[in-house]
Amino acid sequence: MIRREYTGNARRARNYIWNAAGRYDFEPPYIAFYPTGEVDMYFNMVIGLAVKWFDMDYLTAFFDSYRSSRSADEYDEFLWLGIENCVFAKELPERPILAQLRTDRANDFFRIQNSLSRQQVEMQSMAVYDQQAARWSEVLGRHVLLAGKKRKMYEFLKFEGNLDTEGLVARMNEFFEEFFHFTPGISEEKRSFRFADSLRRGFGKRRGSSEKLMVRTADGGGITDKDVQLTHTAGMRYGFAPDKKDEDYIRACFGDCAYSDAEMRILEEALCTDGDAACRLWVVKPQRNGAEAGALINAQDFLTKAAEQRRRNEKYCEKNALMINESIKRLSAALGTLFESYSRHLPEKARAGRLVARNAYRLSVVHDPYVFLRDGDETENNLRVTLLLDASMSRLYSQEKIAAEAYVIASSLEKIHIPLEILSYRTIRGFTVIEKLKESAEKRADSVLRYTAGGWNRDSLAFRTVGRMIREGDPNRRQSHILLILTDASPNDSMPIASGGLIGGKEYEGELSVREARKAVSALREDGIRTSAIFLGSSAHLDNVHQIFGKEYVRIQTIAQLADGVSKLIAMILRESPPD
Amino acid sequence: MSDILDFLREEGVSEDLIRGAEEFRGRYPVSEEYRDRVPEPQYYYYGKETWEMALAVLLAGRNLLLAGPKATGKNVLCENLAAAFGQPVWNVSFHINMDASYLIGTDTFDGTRVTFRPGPIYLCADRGGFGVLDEINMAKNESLAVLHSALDFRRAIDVPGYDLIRVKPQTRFIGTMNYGYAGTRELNEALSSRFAILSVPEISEADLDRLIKKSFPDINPKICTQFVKLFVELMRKTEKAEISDRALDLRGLLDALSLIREGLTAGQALRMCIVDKTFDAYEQSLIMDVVKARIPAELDRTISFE
Repeated sequence: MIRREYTGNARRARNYIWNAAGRYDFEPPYIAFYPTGEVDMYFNMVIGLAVKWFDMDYLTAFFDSYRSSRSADEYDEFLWLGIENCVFAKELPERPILAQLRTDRANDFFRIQNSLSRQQVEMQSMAVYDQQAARWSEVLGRHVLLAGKKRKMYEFLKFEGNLDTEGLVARMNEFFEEFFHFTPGISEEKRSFRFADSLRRGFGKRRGSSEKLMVRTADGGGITDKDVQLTHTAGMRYGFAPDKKDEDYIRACFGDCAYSDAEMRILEEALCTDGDAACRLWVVKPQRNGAEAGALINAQDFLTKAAEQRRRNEKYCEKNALMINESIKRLSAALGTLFESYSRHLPEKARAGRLVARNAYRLSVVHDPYVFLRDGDETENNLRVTLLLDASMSRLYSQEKIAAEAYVIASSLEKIHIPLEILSYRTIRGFTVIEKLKESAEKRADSVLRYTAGGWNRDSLAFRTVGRMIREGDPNRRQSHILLILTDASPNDSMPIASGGLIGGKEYEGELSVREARKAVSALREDGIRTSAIFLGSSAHLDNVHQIFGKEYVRIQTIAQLADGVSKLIAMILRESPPD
Repeated sequence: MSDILDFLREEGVSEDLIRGAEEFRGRYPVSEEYRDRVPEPQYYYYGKETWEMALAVLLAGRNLLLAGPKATGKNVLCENLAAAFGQPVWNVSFHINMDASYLIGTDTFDGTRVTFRPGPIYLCADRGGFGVLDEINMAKNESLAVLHSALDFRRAIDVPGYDLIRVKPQTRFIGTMNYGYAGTRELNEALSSRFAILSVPEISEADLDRLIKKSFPDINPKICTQFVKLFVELMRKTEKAEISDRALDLRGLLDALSLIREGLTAGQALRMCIVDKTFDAYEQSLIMDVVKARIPAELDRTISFE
């Protein structure tokens, strides 16, 4: 029933815990659910009350001390029964309704037990079930049918209400000694192990014979169960420039380039210069719908996994629909008010307002009172927003979240009629691929769910390319442009920074790549494209994001923060450099 | 309700300040035409320190800006201040489309000729009273520029094409603002420098308890405590952005108690006055969870009131 993981109704469960604890500044170590998946209101309150009344760090360390045991889950269940009795006694004078909630919980226990299938019943720990049934029977005033050691355990688990943290831990230690003949104790350091981190530490850039784009198939919540390898082609010009085979692979994975050969040549000559001289560009509209017959075998694998990832993105959005819809409402309301300031209301005739002097004669001559002007409801909007998503491999662990966040932003802007274009970028086999996930004119935001991650990210080249594309779309500079980049501020490419025609060159990573990205952002801003970042990444890269974007960024860690974060960011952008 | 100045004395507010308000009333009596604009507050604002700061600012002839989150009683305090000084109120609710013509006035046609229809700021300045500028930071800063000369030492409004209006000596402007909420913006320095800014604190548990008991003298003290804690829990949840501030409605809480006294159950009353203030289903469920963890749904007036 009590497990150390957050799924589904996790936020609602957390709110029970935080509310009972009277604090919101911690991540609950446990969340309680019924076997049916319903959130267990009462027990989540118990967890919150434990935080309120005890030193939870101390208790969590105690729980961790027996974590390696096969019976750890059982022990959790026993101990929480004990803690429940204790916090109930402590809290009842302040919260009289707790008695009723406890009774309701007892009734729910038996109701749910009666609804379980035989398999579910058999999967339960009978030892735990006996204790729970006894506890809830007593709460309901029923006779407790236990004897011998079980009865002794049942009595023991009625932890008194006057215990402090040390007293509670002492009681729990006594429980283990009495009934399981060992003492977990409390370890000096909390053990922590992050599977994802160990995978990431194992990962590194390699150069080898072939480079293949692989899409992770994990749960998108930050944990991966697949290693990812990315190797790099040995190139020709400058020793590593892409060749025809690479171009064919890119075409097979992403589709035909949106520009003609001639246009791409012009673009590459303008943008693939200096340190990017060996690089290539590819701009596409999303065309892939799964593996097609005759596609390159390497590409087939990518296409299949990309289609799979789309389904995962859609499922993630369905699962979190309530939170996503709420975020859309909040963000669109906030942005609507912000952007209102920057849209001009077209004047309309009215019976009161600013007198149009040259029409004043109409009042007496033709008895027309509509000789005034006031600001009408129709607005003239000259603002356009581009959302650019980093689709490199470092985003593999967060694909669903990124797609959902982009969906929220797209839907919010669509609600307030601000045109939004969504692009993603990645670098693979020397090609920086800009993929149009959503055109400005497109109303629906669903197409952003095609987002998949994989490859490197040559941020500086991608930013300059997108800047060029924005200018191509508005050659007369009639509009104001905002470019929001969803990034983890970790530019990294297997293609080195070319240096004066010599073979070799410095790696595109670390400080050098950050510097290149910063130059690109500065150039965009000088060109009047207001560029800022929505940072969804590791704290290790906070310095990078600050170097690249200055103060114009916001850090988002959960979708719930998106509305406030993005609206504050845009308010800052508009304040610092209001549209013309 | 007794005179608000008696209430201030009960609260222990400085006698000098109270006397100052009494003298103000005597010096600036209100004409019969505007007597119905002098508020008769239904609720009093609790907070001695806040009262003293606000009274001092207004007695010094300055304008006051009350800044703070929702449900801190800013509008109640505005009304109370006008009542304390015995002055009529002109309320202006600011919004994004507000412009100078709305505030100062606009041209209109009265059937025979073009005339000037004065706005609330013009009337307040010209007739003498308290102008309440509610949510002042919702409007664009350029729209508020017309207020500058009324708010600073010039105390005048130059209406283009018409006349120069001198702001009456008893006129004060009291702004309110929520800072940092969605849709709000920074007040530019030119405007904020023309106000004395008072951060209105969240109502404390003790003050809320007194407010409820003052409004419902027959309430069961234990039930009162639970309603106070309910409000505090909603306040915390709003601060942490787990829910919006729609449900954080102090008037809603008091309305719910009124409905319980009229015969509804607590579940029904709280649903109407608190939970359903938000129209988002998920948010309603979060708010309902807080309510269920405090107040029994079937609680009725026989238990709630003595």
